[in-house]
Amino acid sequence: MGLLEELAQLCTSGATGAAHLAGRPGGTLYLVAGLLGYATCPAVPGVGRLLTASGRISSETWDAVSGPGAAEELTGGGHLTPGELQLCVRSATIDAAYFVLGPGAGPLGFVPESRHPLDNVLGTPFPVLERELARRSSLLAEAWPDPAVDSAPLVPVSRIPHRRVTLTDVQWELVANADGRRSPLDLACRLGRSAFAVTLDARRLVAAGLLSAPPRAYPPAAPVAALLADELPRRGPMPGSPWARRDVRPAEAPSTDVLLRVRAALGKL
Amino acid sequence: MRDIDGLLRQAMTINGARGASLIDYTTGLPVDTVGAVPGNSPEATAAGTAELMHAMLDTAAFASAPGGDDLEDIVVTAASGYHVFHCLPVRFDSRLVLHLWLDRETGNIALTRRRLRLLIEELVG
Repeated sequence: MGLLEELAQLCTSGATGAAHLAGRPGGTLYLVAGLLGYATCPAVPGVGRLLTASGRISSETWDAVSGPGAAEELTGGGHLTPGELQLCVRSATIDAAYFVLGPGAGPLGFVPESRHPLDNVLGTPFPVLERELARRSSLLAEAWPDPAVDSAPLVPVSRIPHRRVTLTDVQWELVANADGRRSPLDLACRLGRSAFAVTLDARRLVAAGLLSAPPRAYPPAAPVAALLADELPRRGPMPGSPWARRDVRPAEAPSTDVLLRVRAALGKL
Repeated sequence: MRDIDGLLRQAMTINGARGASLIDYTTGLPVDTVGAVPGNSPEATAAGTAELMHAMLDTAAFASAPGGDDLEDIVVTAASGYHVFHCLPVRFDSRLVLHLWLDRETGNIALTRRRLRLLIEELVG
């Protein structure tokens, strides 16, 4: 059974508790009566980071209220309106869920009745989540098909291929902060911006030729002895069987340059 | 009344209001909807709204006017109604817009824009 099916089943049964997901980046989805109430992921800025990085509330305020009863303290104490808290929780939850349930997700372990202080602000029904995850995947693929740039330390190109460009606020921050060491996800946490929005804009900037990823580090070439051994009759599974070793030749993966040229050519059709 | 549902219900008390929805235009996610939706499809309306917002924000002439100016709203006039798309100036990172569908006969654009601005100010603190 797939992860999403497993989650759908928990939601349909009206479960309350924490679904811990192993794998990369890993994280936890908090369900309340079958709705997704909150989600956390170490690689994605949470409600606290979004609110403090933007200056909406101070780090001291956040640290003081982040225990149980946090929601009431944030809104009752006049730090946030209930609407702001709802919007921030909804945004951070879907943002974290997208990465927690990404291609690197490992098995799911469910702990019934385990709660999060902010899981009762605004629940997301599973079908809404599922549609949003699909929308996000296709937006990313449309922007730039190679997911490798999401975790690559991007750098601004030194000369741009246009006379004039228009950038959104997130895109400007990405160009200003891309330093060849931080990936889009690192930058999202640093800037306190939605991880998905930053990832999407990073892919758009790569597609526009404004940010570039350093050449991908491919695994070192196999030692000669291993290559020779490959020439010997194999005792393993028959070639073509599902267990046969897949012949992966990363050197043939298309370079960013080729992808950009193909994309530009397609755009002219 | 300072929550999402309160905002949408208040927006529905505006003269001529047929439907109000809150949309995250990063992806075209319908956050919440009260009343009618064009074509009876919140998903399609949210997707169209996202495209409209991106078309506007990606165009330098509209998006980056001088002196701390920023996009506030977009008004679309159709034969049978008005659509007002009012940006939510939320302080933390977000791309949210309130879509109010107004009847053309009974709706009033100037009053609606004023009411929406006040309602949204109340929500975003």
